[in-house]
Amino acid sequence: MNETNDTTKPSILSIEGLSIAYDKDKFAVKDVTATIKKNAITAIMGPSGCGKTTLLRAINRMHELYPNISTQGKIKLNDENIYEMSTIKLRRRVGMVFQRPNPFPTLSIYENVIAGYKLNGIHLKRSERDEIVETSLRNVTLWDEVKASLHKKGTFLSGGQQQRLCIARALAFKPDVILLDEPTSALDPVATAKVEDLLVELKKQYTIVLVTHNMSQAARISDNSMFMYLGELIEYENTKTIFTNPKDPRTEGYLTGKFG
Amino acid sequence: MDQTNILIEKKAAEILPDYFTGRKFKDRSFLIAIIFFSLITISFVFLIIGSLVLRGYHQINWAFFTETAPDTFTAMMAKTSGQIIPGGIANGITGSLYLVALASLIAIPFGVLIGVYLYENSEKRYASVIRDITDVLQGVPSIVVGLIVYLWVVVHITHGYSTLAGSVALALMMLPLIIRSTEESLKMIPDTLKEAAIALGTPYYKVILRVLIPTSFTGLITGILLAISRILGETAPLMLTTLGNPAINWNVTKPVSAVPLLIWQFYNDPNMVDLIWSSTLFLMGFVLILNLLSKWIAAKRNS
Amino acid sequence: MNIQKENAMQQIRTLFDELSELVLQQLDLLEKIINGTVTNIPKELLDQLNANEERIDKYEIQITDEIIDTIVLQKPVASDLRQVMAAYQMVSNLERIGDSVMNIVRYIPRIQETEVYLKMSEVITNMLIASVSMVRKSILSFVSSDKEEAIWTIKNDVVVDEMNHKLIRKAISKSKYPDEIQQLLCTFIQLNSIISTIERIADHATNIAEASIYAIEGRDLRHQKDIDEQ
Repeated sequence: MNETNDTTKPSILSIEGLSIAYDKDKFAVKDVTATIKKNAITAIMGPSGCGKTTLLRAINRMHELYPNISTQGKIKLNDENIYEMSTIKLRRRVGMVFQRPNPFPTLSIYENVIAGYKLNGIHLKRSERDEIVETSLRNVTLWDEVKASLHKKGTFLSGGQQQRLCIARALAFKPDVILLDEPTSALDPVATAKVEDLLVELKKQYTIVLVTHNMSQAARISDNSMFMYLGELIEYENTKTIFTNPKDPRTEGYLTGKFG
Repeated sequence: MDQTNILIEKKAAEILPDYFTGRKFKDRSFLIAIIFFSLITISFVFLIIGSLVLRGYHQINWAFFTETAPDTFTAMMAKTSGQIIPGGIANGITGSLYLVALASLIAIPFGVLIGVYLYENSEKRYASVIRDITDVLQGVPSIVVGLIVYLWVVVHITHGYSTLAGSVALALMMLPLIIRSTEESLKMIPDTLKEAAIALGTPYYKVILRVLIPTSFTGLITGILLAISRILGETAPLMLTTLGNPAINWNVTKPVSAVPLLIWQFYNDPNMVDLIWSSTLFLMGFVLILNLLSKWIAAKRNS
Repeated sequence: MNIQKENAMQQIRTLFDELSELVLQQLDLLEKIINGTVTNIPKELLDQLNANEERIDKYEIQITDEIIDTIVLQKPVASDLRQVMAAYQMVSNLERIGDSVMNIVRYIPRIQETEVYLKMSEVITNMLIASVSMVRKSILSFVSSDKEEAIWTIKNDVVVDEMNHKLIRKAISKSKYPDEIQQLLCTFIQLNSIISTIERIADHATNIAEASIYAIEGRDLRHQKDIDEQ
């Protein structure tokens, strides 16, 4: 239940007995334990309200923005407990991409990519900035499309391009882990395919954790999949195995469409 | 197919004459009524501007802007000899600008900060209390504000009418507007922008300073400009706090003039009545320019 | 676009190529044996045949797993789906070809009338060559999307069927045996055919049962010797 069969890769994130509650007794996440493998794509899926988004946000402590949240258990990033780390340091090592593309509307494309540094007041030389912008945009295959209009505002790009811009922005810090919360649910199929191909390419350098309500997406691109239901981690397995031969009848029910 | 439709319509027209023409008639008469009433409203605006322009244009010259208000003698002399009154309202213009600048300096930081606080803590009880107090402040009659500031500043601080008192009074009137517009502009920013900044590891105060405020900048500026255009025309509080000054004054502890105050003075002096129209025209023109400015800023930010 | 799907399809093609190579190799070895002059099969040849057969069985399981994974994960459609479904069927047939080779190899040493065998070996070799040619062409047609080769194969099946019917009867009638013996021989041959076909019915039933366990439990029991262990 806690480990996948994929023992070929080392782990990078270790979730230990994590429980998250709103208002003291309404548990969104119940006692989840799992290890996330490095340089792999791990998908978290489940019906609405199963706690997958809360779990994802717990990895960069964004769940603490919700009111009245209490957290028990730990998450270790390379053996450091993230709940004892400063959130600023944590969020530079764990980046996040959201469901709706959200480039900063007052900043240009160039400034958006560098936004992490700018907003934190980290000063870089012009050449360093240029290099980071170009590398990040190349990594998301946007460089050729936008190199001529780097100083225009990001909002004139199409939805798919904006989302790739947001991924580039998250990559600018060269984080260890990238968290994505249903990153393609607001995009058309062509843009979705581009982002999926991008993630498969990116996993060579980064570790990717992805929440998706689209199980075909989990099937297409993830190496390992977690199935969550009512806050519990029901099954965590190599994707091929979970889709051909799931062990828990609840996983089976979800995959075959009996509920959710 | 079309033939059948036309046939059906004809039949319907025969069977239900009143209904058919009745509905069209109502539509049309409603449209006419709307056009008519809006024309009346617009024409009032034009009439006002028109009569101001007609009566005031000949008083507007270079001196109008650079010389201080004349005294009654010079005015009487000019009137009897049929010339335009010499002098201008320079003391009023500089005074108004000085007052507005000082008031903004006081009101903007407080207003924006309180607006941000209300936005951040909108669920807490304390926040609703502040919101209610702001609404009350907005409803306080301007003369009452003037009286209070008279007590606080004129009597206790500057021991006399002063610019400071005037700006404090005006600031108190600007405050509720700025607070409200700041809070509303911030509310319009989608949460996801805040989340994006936080996910990049930005400490919260920087999120406010570098993301929320710049993004809502248009809304904030519009709110501030509207507050300014409101207080430009306030007369009652100024009468109780700064009283007026025939000369241009930069001393914060001394009284200063303002355009609305001058208009009141001209009104009370039969010799200077002519100057009213030009001053009013100036005031309205200034307010118009401020409005256009805020619209232009909004357009520029959005492009 | 869709790197994962392309990789999966390519992997299936590669494994299919490797399997077909192996099967064709087995058929070549078989040709060598039948062309030979003795009914004893040299040990190295036998070892190689056995080794290949093991690999063929492994390939069958591996390829069908890949195909199932590709279908569930990548959801191929149109020509991709047809390719994948066709490959699934072909792999099963290729494995059966491999089994047939091993069956023939088992029977040859049991032949006691070596003279008769040697006389017939030329004819049998011809039939084998024709069949192997059909196998080669049908595989080629799939791998290079050339339907002409497939059409040739389908048409040629008639030829091989004829050979099947006529070969033994001609041999018997050409032999010097008296008529009753000839009739007896023909009857035994027909009985053998019937018994073999019944045996194949039982084999098919076993395959259906293995597939049923796969459907229920997800366990693959193909090529597993001992079901009691599980």
